[in-house]
Amino acid sequence: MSQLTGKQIEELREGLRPTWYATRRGRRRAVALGAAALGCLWVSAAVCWFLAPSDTAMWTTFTLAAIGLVTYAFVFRVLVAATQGVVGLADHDLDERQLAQRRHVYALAHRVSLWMLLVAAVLAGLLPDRGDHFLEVPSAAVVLFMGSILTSHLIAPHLVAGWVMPDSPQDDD
Amino acid sequence: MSAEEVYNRITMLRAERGVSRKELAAALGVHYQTIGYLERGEYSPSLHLALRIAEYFGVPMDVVFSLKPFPRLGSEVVKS
Repeated sequence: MSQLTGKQIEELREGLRPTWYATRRGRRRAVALGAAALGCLWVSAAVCWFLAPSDTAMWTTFTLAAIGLVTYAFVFRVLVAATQGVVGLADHDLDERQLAQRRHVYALAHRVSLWMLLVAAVLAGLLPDRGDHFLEVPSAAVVLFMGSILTSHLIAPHLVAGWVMPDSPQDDD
Repeated sequence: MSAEEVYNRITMLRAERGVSRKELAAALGVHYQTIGYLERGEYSPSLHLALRIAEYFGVPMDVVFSLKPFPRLGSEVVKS
């Protein structure tokens, strides 16, 4: 995801309404959309846990994955524009302030990921014990849960960056 | 004053020489918003960037950066 150029970021900004990337409200709305897109993956994993293998589980997974992907494509565009490349640009294209900002965002995101994993572990522990059948989980659900964890880990820094990014001062010509 | 606050005269030097933020940013190879952050004291530069800023304006480091607020222009004259 780190292969954009500064020029492409300017083009992204031109193609978006400033209310999305230039205001805290717009950025946080985009982050909420991104979290909802991520939620689609977790919901499809849960659906597979209870219903797979079945057509219902398969079509629910495909539909939610498509909705999540399309939604996150838009959210990513907003976040790249809003963070001026802190999300999206390669390290060597950022200056020292932006790199410091990226390190701060990643540190926060790793803390968020850790809490998410702890909550997931606690929830898994609260699942009703079904005796011998407890570990009989559909392989589709396992794959989707692993995919959801990996995706959450990957995009958490983007969402955190969009959430904490301050407004650009008016006098930055 | 916080322990890590660094004051600077980048705004004044830039205005004196008629250099825009974008021009200064391009010369230093940083994002133009970084110049704004520096001028407002919201970001303290690395030693390397500070040296390059001083070099760009052709002045010693202590003319651009200080750990204490710079005196206002003309304040020394008013005192005497």
